[in-house]
Amino acid sequence: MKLQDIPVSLQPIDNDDAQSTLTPALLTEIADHLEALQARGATGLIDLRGLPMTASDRSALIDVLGLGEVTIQVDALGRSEARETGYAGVWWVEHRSPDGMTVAEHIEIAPIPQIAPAHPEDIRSALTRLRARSEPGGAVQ
Amino acid sequence: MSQPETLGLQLARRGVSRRSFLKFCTAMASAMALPPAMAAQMADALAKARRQSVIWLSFQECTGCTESLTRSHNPSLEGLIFDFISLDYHHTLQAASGEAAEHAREAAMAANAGKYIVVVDGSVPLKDDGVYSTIAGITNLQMLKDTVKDAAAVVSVGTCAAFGGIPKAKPNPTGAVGISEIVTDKPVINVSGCPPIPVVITGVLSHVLTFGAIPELDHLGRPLAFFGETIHDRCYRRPFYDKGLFAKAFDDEGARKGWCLFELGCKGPTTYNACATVKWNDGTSFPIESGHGCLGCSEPDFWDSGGFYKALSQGNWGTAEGIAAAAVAGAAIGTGAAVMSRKRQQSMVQEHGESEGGTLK
Repeated sequence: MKLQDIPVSLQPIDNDDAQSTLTPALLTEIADHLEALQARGATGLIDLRGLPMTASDRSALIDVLGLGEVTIQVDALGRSEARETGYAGVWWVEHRSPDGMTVAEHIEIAPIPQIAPAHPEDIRSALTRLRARSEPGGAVQ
Repeated sequence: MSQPETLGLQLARRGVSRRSFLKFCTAMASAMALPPAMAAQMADALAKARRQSVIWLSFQECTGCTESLTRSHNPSLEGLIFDFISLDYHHTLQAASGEAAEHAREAAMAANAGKYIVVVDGSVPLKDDGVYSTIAGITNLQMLKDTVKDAAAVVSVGTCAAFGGIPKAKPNPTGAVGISEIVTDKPVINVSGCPPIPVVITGVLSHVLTFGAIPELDHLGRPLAFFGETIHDRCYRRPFYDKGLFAKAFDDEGARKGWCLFELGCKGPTTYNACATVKWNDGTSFPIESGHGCLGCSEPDFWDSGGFYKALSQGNWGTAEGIAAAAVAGAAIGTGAAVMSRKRQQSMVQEHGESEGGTLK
């Protein structure tokens, strides 16, 4: 028997019945974080995977937030991508595993997402390696 | 004896950057429903931590729990846990066997007395002095007592270790019990599920490493981060339940449209676990998404709870009016679940000067 002969096929669940009231609630929360960022420099993070979000909710949120000017790609244990939304300081951040699976997804409210800047320890280690190469007998000489 | 080096230094030599630590902790914090802002703190703590000695005991079990962890869907990310811990004894995975294996366990216990974590999968038979399951001639009961004596904490992985599971199902011929019925003087964390979700195992170990403490537990000893809400609270089919749209048979129109499986016996409303958000098989789906109701496998005595295809309403809520009342209450709970989750995160941020669970030190 072929797969298509099995007389059960799931209809897409993405219809009006599956849309909740999550998107308006999230927009309010994002606005509150953005206000805190503007007033006190306080950054905010909203974990999208922890929310009971339907595919309809998700696409509604993507539509409302839109796309901004900056996209940051990071390659650390798999690809991560931070896309600025149409609202400055509001980022859609997606972390993927090396095999491409999404392992975390956030709305981050910050001037720059926390995954982007280099960590002081990595900078220290980079300096050590660079000095070693530029010293006499190092790889550059 | 000099201190072993930190995980940060150890992994930096292998080219693992602090960004990678942050990413691992971001994924763990997300899975554990910790406040997302805590990932940066966790990453710093993890980089300063040292490898944790873990002794893994397998008793009356099917090895599904070990399979679940070792075949976890993000080998390069979740697999990092094997760089963070020193798995000193696991008789299914280790090369040594017989007396050599038992010597490895005893050596790890002596070297890390008071600090090591014991992970157990499988229940322990008590009937007839425990003769129904032995390893290297030692009964499970004796091995558990000996090994736990100097442990910092015990993690019961899987429903068999947590609550007795399938070996304990009626008529329970071996007198099987869960670990917490035997170990009463150490912290016992129950990671139930048949099998448990791999990231739950990884999450608990990461929590201990980063916070030096056991996570906050529910009344059955399960980490609240994963077992704080029911499958039903987080189910993507919940909007159908709230609207009273139920599949009545596995091949009817409602089933095809993905309506709620409550009337087909789904145990989601009474089952606490994270399947609905974490999912299985490379994040593909979870049982309800595949068209079958939840069996309630992370709850005590799930095997004997009256039938997988019997609606909860037949046993608990009685009548059609009861279902209707539950649907109304459910609508309120559905809206409230995300709010409750957020409130828990906020209170953790406020309280997390030390830790949110019991300390191991």
